[in-house]
Amino acid sequence: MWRYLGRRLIQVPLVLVVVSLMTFLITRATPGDPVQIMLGMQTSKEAAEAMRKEFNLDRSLPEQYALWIGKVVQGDLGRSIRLNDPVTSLLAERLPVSLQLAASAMAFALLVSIPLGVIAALRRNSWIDYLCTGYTVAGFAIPNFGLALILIYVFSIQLDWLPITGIGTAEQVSGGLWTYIKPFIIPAIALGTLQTAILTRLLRSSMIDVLSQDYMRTARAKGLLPATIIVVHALKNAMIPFVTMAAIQFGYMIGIQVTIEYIFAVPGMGSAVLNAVVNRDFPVIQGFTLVISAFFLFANIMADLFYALLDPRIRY
Amino acid sequence: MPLLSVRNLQTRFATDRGIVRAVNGVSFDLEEGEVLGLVGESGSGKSVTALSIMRLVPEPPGKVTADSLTLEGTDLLRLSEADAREIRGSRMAMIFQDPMRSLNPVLTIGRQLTEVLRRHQKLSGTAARRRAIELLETVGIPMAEKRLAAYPHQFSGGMRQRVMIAIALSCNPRLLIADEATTALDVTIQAQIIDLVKRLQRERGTSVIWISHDLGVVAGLCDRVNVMYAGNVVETAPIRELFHRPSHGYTLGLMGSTPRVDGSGTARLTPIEGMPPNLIDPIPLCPFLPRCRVSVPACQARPPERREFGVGHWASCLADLAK
Repeated sequence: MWRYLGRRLIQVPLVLVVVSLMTFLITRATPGDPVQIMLGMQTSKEAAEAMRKEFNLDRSLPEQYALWIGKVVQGDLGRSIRLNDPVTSLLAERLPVSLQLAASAMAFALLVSIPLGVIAALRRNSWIDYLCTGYTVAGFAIPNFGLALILIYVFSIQLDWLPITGIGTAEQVSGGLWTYIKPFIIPAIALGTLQTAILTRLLRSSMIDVLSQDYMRTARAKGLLPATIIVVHALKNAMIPFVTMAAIQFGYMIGIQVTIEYIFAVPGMGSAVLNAVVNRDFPVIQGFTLVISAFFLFANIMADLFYALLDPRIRY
Repeated sequence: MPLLSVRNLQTRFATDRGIVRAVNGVSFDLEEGEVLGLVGESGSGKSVTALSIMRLVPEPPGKVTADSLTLEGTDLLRLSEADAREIRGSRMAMIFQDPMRSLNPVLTIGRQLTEVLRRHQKLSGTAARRRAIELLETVGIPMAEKRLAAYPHQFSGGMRQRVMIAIALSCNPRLLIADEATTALDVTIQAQIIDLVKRLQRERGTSVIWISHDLGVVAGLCDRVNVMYAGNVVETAPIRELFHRPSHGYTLGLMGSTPRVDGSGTARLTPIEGMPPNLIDPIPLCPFLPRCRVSVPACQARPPERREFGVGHWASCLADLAK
């Protein structure tokens, strides 16, 4: 187990080097000059040169990468060209917001998918199962930004129940629990619906598989109560693939919430990356991509650990 | 009064192609402390009979009816599902064919054993644990205390079946149903499990229904045998009587296709030709007739009635094999 974990952790830096190299090359290969975008067309050549020099942009590509990664190893992700702030402090400001949004979306996904998946499996081919199928198909089909706009129209504009923005503002953080939660609701639903669909479908099918196993008949033959049979005997087995998938999806969410953050004006990683891409803010793009990738890798390792934790037959 | 009384048990399943009559009018009594064998080939209705008695047939698609089905005077078919749960695992218990898959892979042996004790005997955690250790020792599992924390995959097939037996006997049931309990095991392990069941049955006076397609296993264990074919009991007899004077064409066929250890039978095994009948269509004559080697002209004319061939020996056959 620990050896396996060690092996997996050793792989992490290797993967991150490859990711960073690719990000680096893609940013340099796309047209657009950060300095020119930053300073505008009318700036003097000297000023532009000075700025290039400051951010090492006058050096050759291998040199640029070597200088950057040398700093990264020491925990320094460089400075934003546009904002002139260290990328790490930008990260410290943005990352918690993104994590909160991802966590609330995942909470929504779990809250819906666990009961829905279980009931759909238990009442197979009933109206509730068909409802569940319809919901998952819709969840797969609708893009999150489309859903976001519909939710905004219905719940914010027509009904005026929930605010559109407000995540990360001073009032939100200093208010009570409800004030804190309220602005998360619509973004969480918009962001988490796809995961809800994925997880519901997964739980339904693994639950159906488990229910047909011989040990379920044994459980019934013991005269156990239905709640014990479903929760202890069935769900504990069916949760193994579910938890693994949920962990992977959580890592994935940090990376895909760009549009949602943009729509709801969330000051998170996604909107920061989007701005950085528009402005060709290379250090921010590279630093944030690195952190998002690290999260994804971490989520995958967590998924494997959960797997071993839940299934006594798995030993790494 | 017999421990278990079954009269005209019928279990049907609704399928897309029609109603399957899996059990079609089974009647028998099981006395206190008796070991009854239920033999027959796959699809003869042995397992469905057992599941019907245990009230484990899913309804729908299944439908269980009987003129009477009583355990110690309790009408099993009149019980609500909640009342049936109280009896299952306590007054009647069942062990299944494949011990590899009958235990829950993600729960410890201790958990799977103690949960029955806590449910039916309302034992506390420590009392249930102590009892579980005793039970594991009873069924011959060494280092029982340590093994409580183990998972099923850490046990061999024979050991798992011992655990299943411990679970089934944990609440001292009056009736134990074993459905092909040794079929998936090695022959040496089979013998051990049979000895174990025999010993526990004698010690506790439990009545046992032993389901098997293997006449040899049944011969070593049972007092009496019901031979089943196409959802019916076609012959019932005390074990010696059955082997000495098989009185149904199907029983004769079964014996001809079973190897004998004592070498007294013919060296060559004779398979029963053909396939068992489709249980969707009504069967007006003897269901075994198309495959029978000893049929008489009367078989073509009328369905066979139940006839007595000796003390406690009945068969639904028109050919007078015993004479």
